[in-house]
Amino acid sequence: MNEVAITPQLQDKKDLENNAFETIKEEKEQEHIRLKERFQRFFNQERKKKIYTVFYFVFLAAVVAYFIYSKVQMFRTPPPEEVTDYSQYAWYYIPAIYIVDYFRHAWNSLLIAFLLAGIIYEFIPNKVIKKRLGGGKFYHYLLAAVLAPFFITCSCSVIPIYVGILASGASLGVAMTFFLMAPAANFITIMMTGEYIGWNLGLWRLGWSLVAAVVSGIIFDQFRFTKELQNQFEIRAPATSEEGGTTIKRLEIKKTIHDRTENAYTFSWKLVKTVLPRLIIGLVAVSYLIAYVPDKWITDYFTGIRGIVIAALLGGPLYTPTLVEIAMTKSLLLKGMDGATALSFMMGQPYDFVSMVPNSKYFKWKGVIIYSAVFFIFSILSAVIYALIYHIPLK
Amino acid sequence: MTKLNVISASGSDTFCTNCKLTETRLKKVISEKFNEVEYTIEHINVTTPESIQKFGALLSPTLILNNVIVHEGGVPTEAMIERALKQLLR
Repeated sequence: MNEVAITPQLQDKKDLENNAFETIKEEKEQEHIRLKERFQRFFNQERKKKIYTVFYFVFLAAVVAYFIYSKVQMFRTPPPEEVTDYSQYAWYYIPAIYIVDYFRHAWNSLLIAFLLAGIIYEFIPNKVIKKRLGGGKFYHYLLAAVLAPFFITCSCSVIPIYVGILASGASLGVAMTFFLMAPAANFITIMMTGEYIGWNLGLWRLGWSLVAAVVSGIIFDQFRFTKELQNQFEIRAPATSEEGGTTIKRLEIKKTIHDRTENAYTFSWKLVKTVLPRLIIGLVAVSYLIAYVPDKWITDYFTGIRGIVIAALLGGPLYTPTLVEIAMTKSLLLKGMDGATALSFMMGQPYDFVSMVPNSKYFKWKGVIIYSAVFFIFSILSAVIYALIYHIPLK
Repeated sequence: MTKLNVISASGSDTFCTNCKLTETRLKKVISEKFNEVEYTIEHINVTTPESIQKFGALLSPTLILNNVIVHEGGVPTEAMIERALKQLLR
């Protein structure tokens, strides 16, 4: 082993090398910082926003374009409706296969529904209903029912809307019409019913829900106890906000297109985050139902007048998210349920037991019973009329 | 030192995600761009009679700065909060 003795000269040389190395390192670091600054200067807040906005609209355009393309394609060569027998797979494969099947058919319309929901949320603000719905004329009931599908609201903003409608002078019946219509036929529900099941049934559902909601609102307003309930709210609402001592002013902030797109996509994303987990859990349950319920039961119990009544009765205890319900109806239709029963089943959405409890707080139990009865009658009536028009045997 | 009174309105006593988001955005904007502002946050429930007496019927979430209703019925973006603060504190 011959070790190199560190002579002073060698030490100097090493230091020199080290110094050179360090200066290079420093230079590189500085260059890196300079590049980073340039990058940040280029992608500043303003530009970033612009890029987001452009990306959002390009994405939206692409999704809509694909939607139209697939429609045209489907119009040319309609794909055969195949019935998959899920019971042939092992039990742990069934949900996976069913969910993949569902999303293969529905991803495009789901995406459009969520994106448009965000845009509608941003461009038709909640304030509109507060201004327009004051009064108890027939026109107001109808307006409430027509406006409701455009408001996809989370449960915690529903109550302020309710109080807002009442405080601005609307009658309780108008508020009820709005509240029944919002879950029964909101924008996403109609879109998915139309796309996944068929526009024929989708429009029937929309029309009859509208009629049923308006009728239950009008009936509810005829009772004396409704007037008493109404009076409580009128006392609570002051004419002007200046009575409270402090004056409240309003400031309209300018809204740019970037703010609007940002709001729209945060809303869409939030909706996806809340809806998707529930949808998937529901689909797992539906997949087992579809796989193991024998076809004979469905053709026996879900057809004709018996099917219509059973489906209408099921609306109460069956508490399913709307999107899950649509998937289930589609699968049952493929297994032999008829269209009239499907309509009656879907109309039963508003009167499930779980949502009765919070609703009873605002409409009292009398109101809950009234709207449940009206919707029950209308789900049977609409299904019977549907069956008569499309020659579905009622026996 | 400018003082700012923030009233953040929600639809219930427990704060919903939208109301929380409004507040976090406001705090972020103040800490980044308006360092000198000293602020107090007050929570109200818009469905209570007291709130309706004072402000009229509000939607949730609503942001009220120095007794001026800045944004009602939705979450304002950071840019919008910044604009509002600039107008109010000028």
